[in-house]
Amino acid sequence: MSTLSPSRLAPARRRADLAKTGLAAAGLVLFGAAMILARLQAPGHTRHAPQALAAPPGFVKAVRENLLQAGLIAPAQDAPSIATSVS
Amino acid sequence: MTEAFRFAAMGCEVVVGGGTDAERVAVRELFDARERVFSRFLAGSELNRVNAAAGVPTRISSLFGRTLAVALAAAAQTDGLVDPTLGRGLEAAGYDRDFALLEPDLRLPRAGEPGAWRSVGCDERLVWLPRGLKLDLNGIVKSLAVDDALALLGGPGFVSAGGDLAARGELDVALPGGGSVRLVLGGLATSGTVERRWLRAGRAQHHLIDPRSGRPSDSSWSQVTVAGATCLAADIAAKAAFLLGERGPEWLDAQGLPGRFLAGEEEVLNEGWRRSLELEVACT
Repeated sequence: MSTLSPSRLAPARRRADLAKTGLAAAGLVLFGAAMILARLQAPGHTRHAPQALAAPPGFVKAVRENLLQAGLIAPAQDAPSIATSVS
Repeated sequence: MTEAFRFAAMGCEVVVGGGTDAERVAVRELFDARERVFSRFLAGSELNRVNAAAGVPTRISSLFGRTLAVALAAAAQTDGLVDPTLGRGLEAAGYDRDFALLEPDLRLPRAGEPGAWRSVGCDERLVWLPRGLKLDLNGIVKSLAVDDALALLGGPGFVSAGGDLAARGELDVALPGGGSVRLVLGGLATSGTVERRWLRAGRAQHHLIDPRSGRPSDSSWSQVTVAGATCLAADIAAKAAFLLGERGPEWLDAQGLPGRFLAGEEEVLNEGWRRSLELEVACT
């Protein structure tokens, strides 16, 4: 039964370590790339920052307008031109 | 000013002072068009179509959308007192046909439903009502029409419809219940129960539904008049102040709006109304 000599064993271990390191690095790169692609493509993830649903500007204006502003009255000075009733 | 132009629309007499013949025709067309869209008593009105579709999203015209937006804003700014979702309350009280056709009814009024304006979903072209809800936009449609009609007049003039009035230029106005006032700027509106009343099981009913109960209001006032920057402003404030009862004058003062309250023969003027008349007297 033959045994490997120490001079051949050490280079073989170095090559094995190098291969393991290379595989780990490649795995990390692949994992990172897969994460980036998933984030860009996967449904349920927005590509842009979310914005609140907005009503049309004219609608917003009508809702926000102050509807309770005062009119101006003074004592009557002539005979009334019009008579109002009750709604 | 030439003789006023008069016609019937929205269950009342509309009076137009000033304006050319073409402008007066345009005012009449505006009122007729609004009635076709917002009447509860015209089978083909857009309001009835929207109410019939409660429970599913419904497309609406831009006019309907704008008016509904204003109605919801009015509800928000009055803490829900002027609520556009009281159609069922009106029907429950017996106001289920044109007012001229109402007759004393021996049946008891049905229980109304409180207002639910927050449950209305809408934008300019789409509305969604919960199933069973009915809009009634007539709380603001007439005063909005008065403001829009006044904008059709090229020069000084006024438009009056029932208790709603808007004027361009100063105008002396006789108020319901007696007295008169000069409207210098904006509009006047009077809300009350002295005219639109009917009997149900021998009990008087009226059209001012309290959104908190869904029934005709038991306010202590018979009518409330408010001066607003527009007729719409005056109308919304007058309805809210009426529904608030005893707290009405104080609420109007907090909003900076002049108001006159009548309870039978008794007249109550809020601080804003009194100050407006006193300041004017002091200046002359």
